[in-house]
Amino acid sequence: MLTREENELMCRVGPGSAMGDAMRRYWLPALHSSALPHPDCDPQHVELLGEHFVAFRDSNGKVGLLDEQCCHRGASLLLGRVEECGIRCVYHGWKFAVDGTVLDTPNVPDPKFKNRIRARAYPVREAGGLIWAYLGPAQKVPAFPEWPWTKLDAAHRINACAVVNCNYVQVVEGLVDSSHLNILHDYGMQATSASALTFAQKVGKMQIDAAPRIEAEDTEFGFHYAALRRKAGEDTGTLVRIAAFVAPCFVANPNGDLAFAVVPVNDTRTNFYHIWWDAERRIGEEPLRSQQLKFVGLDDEALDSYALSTRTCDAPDRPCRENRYQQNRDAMRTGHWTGLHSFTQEDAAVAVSAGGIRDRTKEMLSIADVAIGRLYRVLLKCARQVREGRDPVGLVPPVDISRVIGIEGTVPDGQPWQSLAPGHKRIVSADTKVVARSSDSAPV
Amino acid sequence: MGAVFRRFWLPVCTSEQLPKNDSDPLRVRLVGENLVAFRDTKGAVGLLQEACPHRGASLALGRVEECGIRCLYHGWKFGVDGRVQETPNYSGPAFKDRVKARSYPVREEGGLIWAYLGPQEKQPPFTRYAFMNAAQQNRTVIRINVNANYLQLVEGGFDSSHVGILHSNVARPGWLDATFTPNPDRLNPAVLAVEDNDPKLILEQTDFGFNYAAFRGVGKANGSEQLNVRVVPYIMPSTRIIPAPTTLFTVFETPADDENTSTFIVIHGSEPIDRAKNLALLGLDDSRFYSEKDCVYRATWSDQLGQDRSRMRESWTGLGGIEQEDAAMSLSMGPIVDRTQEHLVPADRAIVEIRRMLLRSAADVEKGGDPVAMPGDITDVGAPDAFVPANARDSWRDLAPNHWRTGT
Repeated sequence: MLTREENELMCRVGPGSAMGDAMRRYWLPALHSSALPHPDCDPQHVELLGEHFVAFRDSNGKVGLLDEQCCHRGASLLLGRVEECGIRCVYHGWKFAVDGTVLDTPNVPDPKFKNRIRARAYPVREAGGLIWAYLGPAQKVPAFPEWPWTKLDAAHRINACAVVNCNYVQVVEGLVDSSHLNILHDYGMQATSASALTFAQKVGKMQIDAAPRIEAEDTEFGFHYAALRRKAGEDTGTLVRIAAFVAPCFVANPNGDLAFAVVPVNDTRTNFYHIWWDAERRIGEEPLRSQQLKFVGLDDEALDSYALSTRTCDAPDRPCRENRYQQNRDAMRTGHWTGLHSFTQEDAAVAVSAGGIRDRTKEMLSIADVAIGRLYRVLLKCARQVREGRDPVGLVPPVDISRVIGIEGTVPDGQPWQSLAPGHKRIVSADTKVVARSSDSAPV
Repeated sequence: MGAVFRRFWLPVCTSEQLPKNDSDPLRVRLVGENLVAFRDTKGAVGLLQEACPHRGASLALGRVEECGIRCLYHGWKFGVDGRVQETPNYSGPAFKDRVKARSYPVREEGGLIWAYLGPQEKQPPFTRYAFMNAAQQNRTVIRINVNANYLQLVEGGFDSSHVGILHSNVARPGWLDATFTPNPDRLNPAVLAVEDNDPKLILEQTDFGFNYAAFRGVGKANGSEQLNVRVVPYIMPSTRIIPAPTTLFTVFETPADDENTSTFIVIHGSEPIDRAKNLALLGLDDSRFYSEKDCVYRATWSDQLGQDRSRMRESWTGLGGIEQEDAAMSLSMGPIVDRTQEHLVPADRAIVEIRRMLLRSAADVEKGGDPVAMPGDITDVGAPDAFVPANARDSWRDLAPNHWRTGT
């Protein structure tokens, strides 16, 4: 439970908000690389942290991210012409390069004028199938986060994004919540036993115990937590699933080959990026790619029909109270637990049904929600740090993201679960900077 | 600024929107007020507050009959002057003389219904425009309701330097092969643009507001450098006259409210006007975005404001006509553009002058004074577009001798 003020502080990310300022200190995914498929293709609208931008790929393939409104008189550059290494406003023909340099101002005779002004442009990187942007102060650009999947070729990863019509924290909550899996996703989990997908087999193991013990700890990157389950039919050994939350909005799933970026579009809409990767198997190619996406409801057809894509997220028939979140209650009477399409639609429905920004003054967290409480704490810490002029979690000194993992494994009795993630530096006390490696910690 | 607009006669709707006596009443939103316009049995037009003064039901649902409009709810009936003619649920005979529906002075001229919404004692003489003298068949009136603040549309319409860029398709049809080919179309105001997107502007204040004269180099003729000059009047509070080869476009940007504008375009000339052809050149013949029935311009971001990017190889904007292009610019800025973020340049001097005039008027009216300029009879104000020798550019004033005449 949070006070109203804390909830607002944690959830609001628009310009000038404390959490918004914190978010702006990190590299954030802005859109998929595939949304700008070739040089001089159509520009794309990007809304990020409540601000509007235009993204375009110039004739050399370089991506630019500029304020949407032309800096001359405010027409939208989304209508602009992308040509000859720049984007040109159709109104008076001002032309901008990816870095905001003004290349041409046909209605100004002074040739030096264009050197005196600049369009507001933001640093952009392209990695892991994503176009990343940094919206914060120029002198504070952090090191680019090198996730294990950012260097992999497209054939070895799957990128997908669901647009969810609620605040980002609600979406993150679903990712650090082991205890909903066997309940909310009951139907999909049953299908996992029969599926040949690696993903399905991994999550299938969780069917054994719907009430795992949860332990969470602060780390230098945010926090990690473990869901601890007794191995089925055995008296010793613990099945451990560790997830890592990386500030401000990333999660490494215990499956070990799945990461999420939960990026606020604005206070009540979220881009929910999924990245699967496999250094050996070519999962980014067909049929593996489509099989994976279909299984969890992230294929284009499912995203479109449940208003989870940019094309359809404003559709009048999007899941909402009036249409009971598109739930099929007939299916519920004949054995389907939720009457919702698949994992993605189930997660989205419970998140959206809680309201645009969930009221956390009226919740009752239980022992199963230990990681949720930890999430609030870390996010509020980021917001307060920035408000007080300090650096938010994980930036100074920079965390080596390549050491951050989600993992599943079994530990024998007497061995700490933290030993499965030896690269996670834990913060033993939130007040002091004493840091210990997971491997030094006490037994479970 | 609402007080400034209320000091002028404003266009309310087209005459066509109240086509005959006792025709259906029309809901009107004007400078933030909800009104109802109707034409009574004798053809007189009334403009009343929309809410019935009895208990607030909308008179737009009312019955128009027997020289008045009757509220459906309890049958109260009002004349075009707001006078209460009947109150069937109250028999006290003197009562109806004691109440009145709020009504406004109305005129009908030049294919438009006009109203004055300001203080009675400040009512100015009715403004007469050249198009009011044109024969009916030589004039046509088009109304477009756009979801943007009036000033965005005003600034777009009074902006000489966008014509050769935004309207490249019609202003310089050769843009694709980089040669300037004049457009032979005799109807289109954009065809008068020439291949110089950096016009020199001269601004001068007049009785009715101000003029700009935009000069563009066009090369030599008869051995001397020639300039194209286009004189465009800005008529307070938000009107402009734009020349086309055989016609004039008088354009009113009338605020419906802070985020919506009724644009009235009156096209007139000395010959019959082909309305359909004019609608086509404006891009208003496309039923996806515009219907003459309700005059609403419908393009939104869900259809990329009407832009078809697959056509942008051969079409500069991918938009279908000059009004589509102008409306897309204003719509793309959002309902009220954030002017703290702009970078104005010398080509925007006319925009700056408009803002200065409007802001000064607002300040003066607030202090009990008058707007900085009031148009009276301006039937002789036009918008000349011609060529002058570069060494005698001052001769442009002879093209518009009546623009400075002052009554004082």
